[in-house]
Amino acid sequence: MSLLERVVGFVAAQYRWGLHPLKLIVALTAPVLIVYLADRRVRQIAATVAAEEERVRRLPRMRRR
Amino acid sequence: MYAGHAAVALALRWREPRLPIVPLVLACYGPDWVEVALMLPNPQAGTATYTHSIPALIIGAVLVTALWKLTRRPGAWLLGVGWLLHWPADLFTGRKPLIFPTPLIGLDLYKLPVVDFILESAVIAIGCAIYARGVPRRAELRRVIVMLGAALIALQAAVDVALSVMRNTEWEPSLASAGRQSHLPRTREHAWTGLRMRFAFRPSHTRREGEMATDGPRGIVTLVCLTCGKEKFFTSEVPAAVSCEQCGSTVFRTFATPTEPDEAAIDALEAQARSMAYGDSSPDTTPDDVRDLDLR
Repeated sequence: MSLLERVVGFVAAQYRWGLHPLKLIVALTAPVLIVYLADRRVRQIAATVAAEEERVRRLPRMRRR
Repeated sequence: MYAGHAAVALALRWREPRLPIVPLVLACYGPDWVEVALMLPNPQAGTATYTHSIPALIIGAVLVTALWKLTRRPGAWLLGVGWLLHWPADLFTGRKPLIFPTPLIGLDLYKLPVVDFILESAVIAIGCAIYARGVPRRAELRRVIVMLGAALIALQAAVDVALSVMRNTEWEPSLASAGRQSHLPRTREHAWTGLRMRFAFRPSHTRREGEMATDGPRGIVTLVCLTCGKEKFFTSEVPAAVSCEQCGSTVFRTFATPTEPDEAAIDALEAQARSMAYGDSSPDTTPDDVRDLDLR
């Protein structure tokens, strides 16, 4: 049995056994976690990019060339 | 809607980049969280009225906006909007109460997991595209956003696979309120009658009518086995594969007998009718046919 089949089987079994509130909590937490991690990474990269642009902007014109 | 709520949060974030993403996503899933909280002591049904009905959504949106305003941070109204947008998003995928526990309104696409997956994937793509407008145009940022969208779509795919496995009821979309009459004529049933009935009012017999709707007039279908002559009767729908219990043959002659008055069927029956009385002449027999028979 492949990993994908195991994952699909596990998820399907969770639903077949009924929607317990704890499973719902896990299901609702997953997208929040994904979005939070991605947004944090985006902010980090954006901050790095902004800092780099600011550093370049403050360099004397001759050194920039 | 499942992952689509996160996409709504991403789209709203574009309006106020200073607003932290976690409260916004939590607000977009707000009614679901409240529903889970109400289920926590013991799982119970019927809590959607207190979480997903329009009055409950308005109360929740006002509360979350007021609470965020107390923190003196920007974007409080976006949390309220995110909470309110939960209802139109769920309108596509489920059936939610308007004010009271019934009627339940919604397109019920969770019962069509493939359609649900396509819809939510589109919503995720749009949400990510709007979110991307709020960040600098850099390749590494675009890559992260694409991975975010892919992760949400994968999450949605897992849920839709599970839904397709556990599906045990029929698709029952409902858009009209109880008591509404369809403006379409009802004199003759057509192939799309089943679809129309799904969107019309829902008395106790509606579902049965939807199931019975066929291309022609309603009636009994008789299959006569060509091998042994055994007859099988069907009142609603003839299965795709039928075999004779007596001889095992799968070749039948089909006869449709309407059980309701239908002008076309009556005309056809009258045209095909033949007198069964002794001594009557056959209506379609010409003098030439009789002469030919006498010659044999």
